[in-house]
Amino acid sequence: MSPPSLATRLLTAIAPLALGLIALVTWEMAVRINHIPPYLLPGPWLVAQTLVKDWPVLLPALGVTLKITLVAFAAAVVSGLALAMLMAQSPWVEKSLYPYAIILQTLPIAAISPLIIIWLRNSTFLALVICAWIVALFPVISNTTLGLNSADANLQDLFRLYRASRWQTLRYLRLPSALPYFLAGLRISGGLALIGAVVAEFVAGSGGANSGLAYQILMASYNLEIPRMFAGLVLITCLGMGIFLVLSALSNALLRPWHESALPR
Amino acid sequence: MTLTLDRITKTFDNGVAALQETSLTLAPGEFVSFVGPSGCGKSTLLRIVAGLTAPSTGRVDWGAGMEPPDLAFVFQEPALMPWATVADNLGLPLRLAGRPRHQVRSAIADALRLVGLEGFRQAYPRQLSGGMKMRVSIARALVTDPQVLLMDEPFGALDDITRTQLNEDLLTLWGEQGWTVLFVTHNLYEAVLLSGRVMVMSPRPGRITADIVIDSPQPRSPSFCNSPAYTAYCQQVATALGAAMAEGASRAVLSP
Repeated sequence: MSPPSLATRLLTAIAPLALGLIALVTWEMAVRINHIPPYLLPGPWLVAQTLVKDWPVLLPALGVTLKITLVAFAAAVVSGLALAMLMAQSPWVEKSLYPYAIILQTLPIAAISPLIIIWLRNSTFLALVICAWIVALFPVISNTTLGLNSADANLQDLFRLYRASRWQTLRYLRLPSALPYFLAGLRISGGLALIGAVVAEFVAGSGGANSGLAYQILMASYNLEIPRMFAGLVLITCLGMGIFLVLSALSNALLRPWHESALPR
Repeated sequence: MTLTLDRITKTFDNGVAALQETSLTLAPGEFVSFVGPSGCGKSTLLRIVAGLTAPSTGRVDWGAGMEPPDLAFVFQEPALMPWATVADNLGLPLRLAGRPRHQVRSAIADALRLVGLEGFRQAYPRQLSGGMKMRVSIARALVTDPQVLLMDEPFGALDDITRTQLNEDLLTLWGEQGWTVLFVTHNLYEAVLLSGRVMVMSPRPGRITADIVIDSPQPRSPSFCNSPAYTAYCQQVATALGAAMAEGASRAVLSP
């Protein structure tokens, strides 16, 4: 159980970077040797140059997408947690509500986002947030509900024995039991909020009312500015990775003292 | 405070009969063990006494002045909250009862001293061995200063060395605290060492087939295990258990 040595840690950090570098070099070589025109496939070097050159346009776009994602994610976390806690109060509430949570989950967002955008044509931002929220909500609900219902049976008996109130049982037993599940749900939901925001932006983009990253990608592809489109994709990927890393760090920090998933091996 | 079990039976909703009519009276401070094959309803009986399961017929009479918090339950698993430190696990029953913070703190310190875990206040359950976790579980039962202690095969999952150690500790604690103890086990040697009375139970649906008084001064020291009396009592309980099993077997043949 000794912590990994410095060499091992360095290797763990270097290995994925090295693999990525090899892939990029191969990509660049393939593009150059085969003389692939940039409007079909730009090399990574050109994408990097475009990223720097178009930064003044891309950065505000990144900000817009990030804002939609974060607001939708926050809304999904708060509403998902509240709904899960409501459903945990009685099997009846759960049986009544859960089917609708599943229906929400199965709605194809690309199909309904035009409607939502039309309904809320006065606030595209709100429409996009709602689209992303619909996509991000379900993992929080399903994971938290599972967690709230998986409190140890003996501990539940113990709480009954000591006449714990419903609130005390929720506060001291069911919420802590649900925490690892909830945090796993956040990691799924964070990525989905971004996907929801991007998909909704694509749909709204043709209206030209917004300037998020997906809109930039869409415009770039219309104008055959393929390097710029790739630069936008790179930024969205980085955003997704960033969200995942932050949520993983949060999960580790909260579970470190006690949960198997956060223990050093 | 005299605890009386009055003609208790239990048949579960799925039709499984767990307990035949069972009556029993326990004097204050008595240590009574229930020995029987697995599935004989001894755990069910304990849960009925604790109020965790309702009996199908019959009732549990606590006598006057008995409040439910005067009772503590030790499960076969330590049943500790993995996210809470040893101190927080111990404080749980008092926090649920809304006791003031300073009172909780001193009760935790007392309980830790009683089970010899003073150095582990801030440890998490995963950092403890199986025996230490069980000690914490017992200490948690102590903090409310209960009159009645219900133990459901508390040492069943532990190795022999740890079990012997905890048996000794339990004898010492019982001598100091004077609880009424209902102790479920499938280990008749443990039952004879610890108890004033051993109840032998038949296979499901269980009933008490023998009530054997272990007539030796209590609380005993572990050296009781070396005495001829101990061996004789063990044999007596084993014989009674054999008879109970035979009764169960013949019933199984008779009933379709």
